[in-house]
Amino acid sequence: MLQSYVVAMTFVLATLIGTRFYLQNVVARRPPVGVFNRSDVAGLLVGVVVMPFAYLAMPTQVAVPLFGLVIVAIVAVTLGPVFGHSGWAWLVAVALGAADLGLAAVAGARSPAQLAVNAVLLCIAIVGIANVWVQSGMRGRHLIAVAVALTVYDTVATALFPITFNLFTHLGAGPFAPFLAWWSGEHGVIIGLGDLLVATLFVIVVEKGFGSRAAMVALASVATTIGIMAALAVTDTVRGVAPSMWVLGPVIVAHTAYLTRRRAERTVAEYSGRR
Amino acid sequence: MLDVAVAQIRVALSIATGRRLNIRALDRLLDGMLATRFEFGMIGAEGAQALGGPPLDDEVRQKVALRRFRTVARRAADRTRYYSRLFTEQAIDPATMSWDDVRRLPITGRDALREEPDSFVCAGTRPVMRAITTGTTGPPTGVWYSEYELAALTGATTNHVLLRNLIRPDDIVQMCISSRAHLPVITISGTCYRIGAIVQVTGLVDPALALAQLSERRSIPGKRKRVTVLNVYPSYLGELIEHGLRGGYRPTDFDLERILIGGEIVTAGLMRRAERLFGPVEFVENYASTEMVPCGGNPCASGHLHYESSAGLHEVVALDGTGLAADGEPGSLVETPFPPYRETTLLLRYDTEDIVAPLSGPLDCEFRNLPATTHVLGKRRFALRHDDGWVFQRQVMEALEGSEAVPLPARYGNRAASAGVALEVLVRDDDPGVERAVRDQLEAHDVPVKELTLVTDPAQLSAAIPVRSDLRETSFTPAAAPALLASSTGG
Repeated sequence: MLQSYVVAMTFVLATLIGTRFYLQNVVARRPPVGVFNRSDVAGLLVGVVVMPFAYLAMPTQVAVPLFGLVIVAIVAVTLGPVFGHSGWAWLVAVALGAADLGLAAVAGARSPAQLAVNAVLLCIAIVGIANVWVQSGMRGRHLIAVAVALTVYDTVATALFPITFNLFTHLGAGPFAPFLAWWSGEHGVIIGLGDLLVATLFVIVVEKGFGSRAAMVALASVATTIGIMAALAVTDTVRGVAPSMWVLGPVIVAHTAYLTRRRAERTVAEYSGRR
Repeated sequence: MLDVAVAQIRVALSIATGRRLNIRALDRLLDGMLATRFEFGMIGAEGAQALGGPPLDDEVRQKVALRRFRTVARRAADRTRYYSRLFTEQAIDPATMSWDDVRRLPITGRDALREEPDSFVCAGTRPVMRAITTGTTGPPTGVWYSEYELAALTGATTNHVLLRNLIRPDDIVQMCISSRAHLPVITISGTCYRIGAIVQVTGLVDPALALAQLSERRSIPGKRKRVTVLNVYPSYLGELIEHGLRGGYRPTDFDLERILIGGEIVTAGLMRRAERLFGPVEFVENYASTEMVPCGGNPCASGHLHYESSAGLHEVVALDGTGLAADGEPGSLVETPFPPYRETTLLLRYDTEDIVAPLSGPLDCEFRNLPATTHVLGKRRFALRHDDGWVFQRQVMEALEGSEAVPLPARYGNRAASAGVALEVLVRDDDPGVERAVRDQLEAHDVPVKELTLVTDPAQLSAAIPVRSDLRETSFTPAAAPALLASSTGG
C-alpha cells in the first residue's frame, strides 16, 4: 500500500517539477502566429468530451494502438528541443512506446516494469502538452475556464455516468493506459491523465504569470491535494473511480482567481525577459 | 491559436486563388498578429514566412502568373468597356492567352485612364470612392475602389506594418503627405486605429506648423511623448529639413524613430541631412501608387526593388517599345494588379512610366527569392536621352542632394544637349566655388553636363521638374512664431 502511494506520488512530483524545469529551460515549438485563446479552450474541451466516446466506440485493438501513436508522437515532439535533434527524440519515443507494448504483452499490464514505462510516457507527454499551451500564451482566465468545465465534466462522466470507469476499463488493461497507476497486491493508486494535466497546467500558468514563489505554492497545493486523494484511495477510504476534479477544480480556480485579482499577469515576453 | 490557424488558411487560399478575401478571416488573422506581438514581443521570421507563403521557383511563378492574368483579363474583357473593346480589336481570347498574347496586348497608358476612367470600372462592383492621384506627372487620374477593396487594402497594409514592426501601439504617427491622397490616408490611418497608435494627418502645410507638431510634447497615457513615426514625401522632408535647421531645431527637439517615405526618389543626401535635424532615424522606403496598389516594391538592403508575385504581374518594357527590357536595361515598369485586392478598377499592363532595370540574379539579399529590379531611376518623361545614352532623375537628384550648396528638395530643370544634358539648378548662393562643387557631384554620378546654369530664385527655373511638396495646403493657424519655436525646443 505504502509502496503504491510512494511510487505514484513520485511520478506526480516528477511531472510537476519536470514541467516547471521544461518551462524555465526549453522553448516549446508553437505556431508562429497566434496566441492561446478561447477557441483553443473550446477545442480542448470538445476533445475532452468527444475523445472518451470515440475510444469507447472503437474496439480495443484499434483504440489502444491509436492512443499509443498519439502519445508517442507527443513525447517525440516534447523531447525534440531537449535533444536538439528530432531524430533522437523519435528514437527515444518509439523505444518507450515499444517497451510499453512489449512489457504489457510479456510481463502483463499490471507488472511494475510496464506501469513504470507507461508512467514515464504519460509524464513526458503531460510536460509537453502543458508547455505548448502555456508557452503559446495560456493565461489564468483560460485555466479557470478549463478547470470549471472539467469539474462539470468529471461530475457527469465519473459521478453520474460510468464514462470514465468504462474508458479506464477499455484502455487500462493494456499498454498506453491513459492514467498513472501503481499496484501493490489489490491496493493501487490511479491518477487520470486529465487530472494530472490540469494540475500541471496550474503550476506553470502560475509560474509564467506570477513568478516562482507563487508557482511553488501552487505546486505544493496540488501535490498535497493529489496526495490526500491518493491516500484515501490506497487505504480504501474512497473506493472506485472518484471525480478528482471535485477537489482539484476548486483549489485551482480559487488560487488562480486570487492571483489574477491581486496583480497583473505577465505575458510570455515578460516572463522570458526575466528568466 | 485554432481560430487564427483557420483564418490564415482562408486568407492564404484567397491570395493563392484570387478569390475574394473573407474580411472577417483577415480581421481574425490581424487580431492574431496583434495578440502575438503583445504576448511574445514580436512576430518572428517564421511568422513572416507562414503569412507570406513559401518561395516559388521561376517556372511555377510564371505558370501561376499566367493563370492569374487570364483570370483578371477575362473579367476585364467581360465587364469593362475599355478592355471589352481592346480584346475585340486585338482578337485575343483572354481565357486562353499565352505569354505571347500577353506581350501582344497593348499597354494601357496613363492618358487612357485619365481620359476615360469610368471605362475601366468593372460592371457588377460597387465603387464607393474615387481616389485621385497626387503625382507630379501631368493632370491627376482617378481610380475607383469598393468598400471591400478599402477593407482588404487596409488589412494588407496592417499586415505589412505588423510583420515589419513599423508602428507600435505607443507610437504617435504624423502623416505629412497630401490630404487628398485618400488611399494612403485611409489605409495608414486604418492601420494605426487597428494597432492602437495615434495618427495625426498634418498634410502638406507650412513646414513651420509641421515641425511644431513634430516637436510638440504630449502627455497621453500609454503613448510616447512626441511623434515617433513620420510618413512623408521626400520633397516635403527636404522642406522640413531646410526650415528646421534654419529655425534652430536640433535632434533633441524630436523623438522621431522611423520615417516612412515614398512617392518620389529618396536620395542618400536627403537621408544624411535628415539625420542632422532629427538625429539617427530608421528610413523605411516603399514604392506604390494609387493606380497599381497592391502592386508595389519593397527595397532591400542591397538597393534592389522586390515585388510580390501574388500581388500582380510586373513587367519592364524597353524604352524604345521593342518588347521586354533585357537584364540591366532600363525600361518602363508595367503592372497588372491581381485579385483578391482589386476588383473595381481593372488595369491590364498599366504603364507606370517609372523607369527601372530588371535584375535576374542570382541575388544574395534578404528578398532574393522575389522578382527584382533596380530601384526606380525616375519618371520616363523627366528622363533625357542624349547621344551616348540616358540620364535619369535619380542620377541628377543623388548628385544635387549630395551637395550642401543645393537646398532641399533639389529643384532643377533639364533638357538634352549634344552628347549630354543642360541643367538649371537652384542653389543657395552662386559663390565662385559652387559651380565647381555641383559639377563635381554631377560627374561623380555619371551625369554628362554640357551646360550648367545656377539660379538662386526658384522663379528663375524655366522648366523645373515639379515636386510633391508644391501641393501646399493652407491652414488658419499662423506659422509658428520664434517664441513658439523656443518653447517647443525646450527639450
